[in-house]
Amino acid sequence: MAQPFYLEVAALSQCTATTWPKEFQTKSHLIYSSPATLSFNSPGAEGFGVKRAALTMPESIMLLFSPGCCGRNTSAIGGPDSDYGRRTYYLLLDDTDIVTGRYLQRIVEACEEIVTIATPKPQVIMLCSTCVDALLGTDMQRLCRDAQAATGCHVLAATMYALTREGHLPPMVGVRQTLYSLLEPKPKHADTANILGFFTHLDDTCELYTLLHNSGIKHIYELGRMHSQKAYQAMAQANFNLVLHPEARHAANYLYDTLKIPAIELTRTYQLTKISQQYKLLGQILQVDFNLTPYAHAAQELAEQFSQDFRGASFAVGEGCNAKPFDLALALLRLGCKVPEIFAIPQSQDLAQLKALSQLSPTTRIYSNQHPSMFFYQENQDTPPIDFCIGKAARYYHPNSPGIDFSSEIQPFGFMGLMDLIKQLQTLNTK
Amino acid sequence: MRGLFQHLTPLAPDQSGAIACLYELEGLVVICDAGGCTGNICGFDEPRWLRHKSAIFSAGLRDMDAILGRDAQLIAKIAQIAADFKPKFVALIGTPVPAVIATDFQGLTRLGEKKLGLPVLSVHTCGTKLYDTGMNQAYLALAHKFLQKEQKPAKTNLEIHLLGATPLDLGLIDPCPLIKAYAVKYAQPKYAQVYAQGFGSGFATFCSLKDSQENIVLSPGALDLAIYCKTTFGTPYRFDYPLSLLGPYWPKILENLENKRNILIVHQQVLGASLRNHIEKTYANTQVIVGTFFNQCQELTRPQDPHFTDEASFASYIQHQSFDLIIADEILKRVPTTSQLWLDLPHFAMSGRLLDLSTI
Repeated sequence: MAQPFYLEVAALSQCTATTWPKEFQTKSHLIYSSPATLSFNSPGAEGFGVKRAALTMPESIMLLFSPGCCGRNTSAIGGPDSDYGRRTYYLLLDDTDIVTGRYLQRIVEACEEIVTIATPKPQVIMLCSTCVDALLGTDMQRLCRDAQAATGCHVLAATMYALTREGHLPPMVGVRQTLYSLLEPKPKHADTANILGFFTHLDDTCELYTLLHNSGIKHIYELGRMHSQKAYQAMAQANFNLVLHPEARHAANYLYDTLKIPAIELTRTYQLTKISQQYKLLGQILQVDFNLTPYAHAAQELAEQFSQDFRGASFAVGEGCNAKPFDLALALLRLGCKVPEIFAIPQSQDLAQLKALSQLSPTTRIYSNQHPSMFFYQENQDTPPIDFCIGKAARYYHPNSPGIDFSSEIQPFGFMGLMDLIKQLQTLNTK
Repeated sequence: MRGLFQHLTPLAPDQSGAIACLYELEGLVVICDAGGCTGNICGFDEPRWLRHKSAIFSAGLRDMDAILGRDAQLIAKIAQIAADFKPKFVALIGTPVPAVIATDFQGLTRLGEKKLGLPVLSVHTCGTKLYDTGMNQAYLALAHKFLQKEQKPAKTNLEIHLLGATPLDLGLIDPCPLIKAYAVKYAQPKYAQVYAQGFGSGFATFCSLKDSQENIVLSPGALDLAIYCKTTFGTPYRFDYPLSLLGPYWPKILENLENKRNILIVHQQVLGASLRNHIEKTYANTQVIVGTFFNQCQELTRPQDPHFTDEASFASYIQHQSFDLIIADEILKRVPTTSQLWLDLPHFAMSGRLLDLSTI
């Protein structure tokens, strides 16, 4: 029987961008639909794809115009009682529509009809287009202008162009920019900041809020907490943006260009020392001295307890969780655990972390979730024994090992994020 | 407005139907998409995916693949893994992307057969049609490839073949109740074996379809295959859906038929017609109308049976008619109706719900 492809981290860390293995380049092979691939592949089915993400816009509805297949999986989240179900409309295209382009006029008419029937009346219409319009070169900006003139609502384009996933503006990057594109210039308030990156918000207990508050930032805005257009517009007053997800970098640049809001990027990490270092650097930029002691101390204490309880335990780490798998693996290794397997797609940008991993655990196996050979993965005498799993992908490949998804929609970050992770893992040990 | 869905979500598309037919046939199936269509199928329309795997992959097309038409690259990607899977065939499934760029599937098929040394078939689905159209296309593509006229049927075995058995039609993942229902219905001595094509059976069973004594059509999505077998091998077919397959839904329906003069059933047409036959035999004065969003078979369609092209046509129909009872997937209840009594009969291709055989 064929074997799943993997590379040990020591070997992979020797590669360069030009010698990167083809098995880890998704454009070079067919794509296997592992759970992580499904989250990635199915906008709207799991997590936040373009469809769900676009509806983060307060007081918005969505019109998806496409062949029926593109909206099919929205059934999973589009029940009559769900917010998404009530706010999502579909204009299904047939062959003649696509050949003649006659549907472009019907989109405007559909928007007019929706505005008359939707309750409450939407302030914003998100026009969601798919691969078909990517290939036809539909002028989305003009379409939005026409629909805006006809309805009196703001109309924005949410392009779900899966074909451009590895292009310069992937769909999830583009939609983040779209979501901030209605902000209008306002005077800056020195005590206001935005957090960009997620479609929900950080956990209320996250110390980042307190640290910013204590340094004079009294208003911290996140899109996921904005429930009206009026509240949303307050984000334009921000003195700076904190970018917590790299896919929001483009949106941050856009906000700098249009509203002159500068941005500071932080990385979500679960490595204790890095969390502290990052906050110190943020403090230097903001010219404040954060008092990290209570948070760092609490996290340190919990981490030490975890190290005692889990020392030597073997973890499989995979995609489909609120962490970058390589960072999470490093954190676990530094807490005295073993990480024999990582299920993720390494990219050359991950080299720094891969090199660090190779120092601590050179035999860790890296499997690509999307490579077709993962079809053959099964636990046997050739795979390392696994005690616990983190992330949907790892749990899929090790169904009999205890594990956590760690994929809540409310986002963990900083010391509290690490503590949340440890507390969830500790429940496994108890079980 | 035509094509506008306010209350419903889109129905299962043609590529989902094609995959449902091919899922258990031991082929290597490549969906020619950018990833989203495969996600829709493996993540939603194919409930067997997380129970037992099948070699179904996305071509992972990117914008430059579409612009430059890199057919040879696609075949090379398939060649990388074909030897590992030892498939009986390779199937290329169409989606909106190849439809828009007018991919030459025939050329791709020839190229594939030459490079891979395997039978390659293509299903020209495009995402704008519904699942049963995709089923018909997939079955015919298989039949043209593997059920040739020159193959002499060996009609010595007493076999009955069930065509169109998919989770999309039946709302089941496990084929056992289906086989059991027919085994009881067509018990010996007439037939010795009952096979459900592509549902608990593999490629060899599909190839033995030429030996079938009789084909039973469970879904409009299998009608073209039944007609092909009739014209090619002389195998007779008929429509039949065993109502015992509905599990607890069936007694619930029976309980509610008393004093109902005017009933509307909305489902796939073979199930609807089987239900209608039973009801009319039991209650002679009851009028039963079978409507569907999917394909209608001429043999089962009565003049008054409506075909719904979209949500608006269903809404318009139901607002201008009054029924004592509606038997349909309750997802349709989202469309405002004046009818009082509604019995839920899930249709996976509509709502994505399987039959709940434990309870209602």
